[in-house]
Amino acid sequence: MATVTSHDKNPRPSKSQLWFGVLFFLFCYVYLWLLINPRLIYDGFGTIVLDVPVFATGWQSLRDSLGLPGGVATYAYGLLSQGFYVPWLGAFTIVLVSLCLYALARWHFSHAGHRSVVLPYAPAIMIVLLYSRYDHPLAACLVLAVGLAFSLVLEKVHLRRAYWHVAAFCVASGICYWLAGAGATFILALMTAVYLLLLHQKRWVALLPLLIAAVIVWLLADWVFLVSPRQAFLALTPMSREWTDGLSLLSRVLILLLYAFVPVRVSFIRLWAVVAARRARAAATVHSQVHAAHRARDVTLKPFRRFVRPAVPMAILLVGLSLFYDRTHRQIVAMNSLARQQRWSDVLDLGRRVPRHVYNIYCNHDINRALFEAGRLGYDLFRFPQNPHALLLTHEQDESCMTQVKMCDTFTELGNVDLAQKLACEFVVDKGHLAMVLEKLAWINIIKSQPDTARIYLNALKKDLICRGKAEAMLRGLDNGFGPDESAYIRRIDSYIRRHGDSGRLDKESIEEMLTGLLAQNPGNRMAFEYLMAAYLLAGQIDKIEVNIGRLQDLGYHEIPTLYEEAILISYGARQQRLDLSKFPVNRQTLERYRRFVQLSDSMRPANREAVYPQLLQEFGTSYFFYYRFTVLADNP
Amino acid sequence: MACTLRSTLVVVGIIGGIAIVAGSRLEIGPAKPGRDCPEVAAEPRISPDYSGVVLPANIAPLNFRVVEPGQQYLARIHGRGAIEVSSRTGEVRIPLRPWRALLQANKGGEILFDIYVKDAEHGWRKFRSLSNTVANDDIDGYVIYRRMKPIYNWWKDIGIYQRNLAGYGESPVLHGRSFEDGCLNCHSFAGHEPGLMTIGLRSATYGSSTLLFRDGGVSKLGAKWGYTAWHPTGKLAVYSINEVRQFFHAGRMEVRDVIDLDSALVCYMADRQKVVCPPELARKDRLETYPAWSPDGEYLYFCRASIPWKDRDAVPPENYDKVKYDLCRVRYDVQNDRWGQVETVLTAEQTGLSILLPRVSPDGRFLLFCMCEYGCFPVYQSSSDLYLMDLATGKYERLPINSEYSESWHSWSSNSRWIAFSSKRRGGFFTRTYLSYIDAGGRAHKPFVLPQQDPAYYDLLLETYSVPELVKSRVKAANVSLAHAARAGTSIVIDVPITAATPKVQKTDPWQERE
Repeated sequence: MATVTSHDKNPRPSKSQLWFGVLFFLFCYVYLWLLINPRLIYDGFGTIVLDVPVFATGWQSLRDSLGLPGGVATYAYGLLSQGFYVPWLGAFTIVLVSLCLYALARWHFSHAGHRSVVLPYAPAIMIVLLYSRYDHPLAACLVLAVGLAFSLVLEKVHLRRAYWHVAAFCVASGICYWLAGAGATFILALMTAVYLLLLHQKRWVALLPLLIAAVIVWLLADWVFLVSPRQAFLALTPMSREWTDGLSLLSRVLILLLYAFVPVRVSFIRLWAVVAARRARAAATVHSQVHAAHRARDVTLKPFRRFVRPAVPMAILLVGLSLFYDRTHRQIVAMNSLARQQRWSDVLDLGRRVPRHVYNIYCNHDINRALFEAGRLGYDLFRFPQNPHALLLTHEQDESCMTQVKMCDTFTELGNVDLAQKLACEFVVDKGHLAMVLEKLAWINIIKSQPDTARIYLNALKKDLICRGKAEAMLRGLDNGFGPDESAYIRRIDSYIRRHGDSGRLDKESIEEMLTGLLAQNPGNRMAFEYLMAAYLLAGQIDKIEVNIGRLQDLGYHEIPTLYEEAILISYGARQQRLDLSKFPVNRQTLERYRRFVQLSDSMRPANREAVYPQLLQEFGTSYFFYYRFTVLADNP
Repeated sequence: MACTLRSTLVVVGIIGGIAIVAGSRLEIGPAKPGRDCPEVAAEPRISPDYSGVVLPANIAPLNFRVVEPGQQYLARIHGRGAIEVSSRTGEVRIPLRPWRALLQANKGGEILFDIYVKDAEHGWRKFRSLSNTVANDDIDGYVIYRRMKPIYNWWKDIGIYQRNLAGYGESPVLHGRSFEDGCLNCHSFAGHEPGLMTIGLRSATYGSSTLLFRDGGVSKLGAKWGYTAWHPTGKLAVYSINEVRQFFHAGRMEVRDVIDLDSALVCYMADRQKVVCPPELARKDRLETYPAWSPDGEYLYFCRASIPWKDRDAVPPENYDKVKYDLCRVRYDVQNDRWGQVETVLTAEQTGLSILLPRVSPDGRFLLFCMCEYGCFPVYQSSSDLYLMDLATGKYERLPINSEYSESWHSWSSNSRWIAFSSKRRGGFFTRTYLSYIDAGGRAHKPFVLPQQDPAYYDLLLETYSVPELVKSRVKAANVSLAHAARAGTSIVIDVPITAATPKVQKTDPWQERE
């Protein structure tokens, strides 16, 4: 490793290093922009990306941020995150932050005495790898940058007396904590301790920065910001819930590495320098011979240093991306984005391409919704893997924020606006003012004929950089009347809202109670009907399919959807009754398929299962016959 | 030559830029309205509505926004003396010192707000003057309230704040983040003096407790006090213990509802640091809550209801919408620590409504309370309205200051002339603090919302103001001390006497107490 015996004063990179650097960051930019697509991350805020970087224009928002530790970093984080709405801008932000960390790392390594070419890229590589997993470590990057920057400034400032150093450190710690929380302060303290111990050889006071920083953090938190000690020391650190919630183990490790990399590396550089210096002293007599040998080797290694070494970061990045990039996860993230934009046909297209073994419940939910919007819920439900809880996301006792966001939308469309309102308000309390949720709350209040409350939500939404236009349009609608489509939507959902038979058990109803209640309010609530039937299908309650078939005519169906036909046939078959075609005009093709299915499945024995089952799967895998036989009956033999 | 050309171009560019900017700001026509300015035969629309109100002379400027379309605005506020405020946006931010001087000079009299609006079509026009009255009686110096987002099952970011009513200064008394995002509620004071104060706390980390600020020090009581009323002597406090449950409705404007499955009143004897449970206040078959002392300390007013459900655990219980509270009082001899017989002041049967939140005016003349269709939590009932009872005659009336939405959480000023209350009149969802003047005859005047520096503040505030309490001066407890106490261990152990009326400790939902 190339070392220098004295502290280098920020050596300039060579031309080849510069070119490779440009190439590296350009590659990162294009990769992030076109392949990762930061818009998917923006659409994932509050859902896939559990954190919600909130930003609102106006002085009030800034003033509120300034009153909290790390508020400035949080404010900047919120602001920069809004740029992810525009993919190229989001990519640019990530690359800019990466570049900043690269520069800081490089300066620190140089200051420590090592002209590093490859390793300063490490933070940038880790950031790109994290984003390739659709994590959003921007807050961590900003905090790290502030900590490293403060540390560098302190090192560069030449103060004569020790007490001036201490004073400067105290002031820097305080400001650092205010700007970027405990995370940045800890980095500052750690770097200062490392430099004191290993660079300035002041062993006896090396731990002092850590102690002073801890005291300053505690004092500021307790007396100025008035936060609890635990929150004080966790604010914007890799241990805080906001940073680690929902992250995989790999991502958490990466963030920890990102955070700890520069201090560890600097420590290593200095330790190596100490060891190398001792060795050099011991081998002083043969120095001239060794030196000549080194010079010869240097000449030989020059092409390597000039062209190969600068390319190493790119190589590491490519290897890392090949290991870290998860295509299927991207599809899931993309599906979430499409669902949020209500591009339902695209959701279905993507759903067909997502491998079945990586399905998650939220994908399932979005696909079911897309099927409904496409009018295919009664036909194609079992073309996609199904989890019965996915229909209305009933898999959690306490709704996660992802469930809250998705179900807020679904419940609004169903007409259960009160439950939608509850979920949305809970989200706002826990996570903050996500624009999508504010918009939903505005619509809910418009539907409930509470325009003044809707205006409040819309005025708050106007403070959002991205959704300002939408908010203004809705406010105009409130003042001057909505367009025909919006008015029709408001009237439709309003007609779904239950106003009778209130039992005060809004959040304790079963799915059936809720959906039948909605249908009782308005038998024309098509979504409630189709979701009710889907729930019955998934639960295997085929008798209830029969009972509710009579609703089809009121809802304007021209035929019985295939899956309902199949359920009816199964129901009659189970009772060994003849189907009354005048009552249930089942399609002849469906009848034929049913006979074929019964024939095949009845022929299946343990001995020939391996032959028959794949045939059944191939012919009937997307039918209700198959689902009922091999899922419902399998669960309830 | 090229250099000269470049310099010339730069100069021309600069001059041109200045001209464009100046031109955009150049007005055609007079900068101020003239005397013969045409008048509009209507009052201007302003937000918030600060017209026709009675205001105290020591209130902060009532900044407002003129909602009329225009390019320029001028507000002239005058009585004896005048203030002029011009604006391009319609926002009228009144300077503090001239405002104070104006109000002081017009105490007991009227001040007029003349609003002028200029637009391209009409030029300057004057709207009909808005008239407000400055009362002779000042309001207390501070109002203390809880501010938070509307909560359902979860709480976060809750704080109790004190606001200087003569200005806009607001500072936290205590915030939940001081003790790991805990919940604070039930702040109460004795006699409008912040020297004796309690705040109820709920925290997943530090448990449920009550902070007691007294004699300059903060203690932590090992029990969560509900609604609290300090005896005027400060010797005891009566507080409620409530087995409170929340549930949600469909098809209503207000989704949330709250029921006390059980409740009782107990007394904390300050000298002995002990809690006693007078049987008059904690009957097994009754729900007692909302204690309030008469200013002479002779009577304790409270609300009481029969329990119309058999299953004490079901949520919501059967007949939850049939529970209605009566207004009762009981005599108390503070010298001998003796309770009298409970008297019924007003029954739900008489009114057809549930009677809640009695508060006696400091001069002992009036009793302010609210009534709603059913239940114990009026802020979630749009039917909740404020009523005033003349204690001398026993007659009561519904105040004309009510709206179609919930009014509740009222408190008196120390001179019995002002009330602060929570109202959802702007939209029905977010609660704001309103102030209203009650004259000596018991007439309530049009309320006005707590003024803010930014006239548009309430237009986009997603938080609610809850339980406004008027106090004479700043809370003397440093928020640092309160924060420390909140995180500290219990300094005063409270043993609530276990009787059949005591609510059972049960497994709780996040919303409920953890003790």
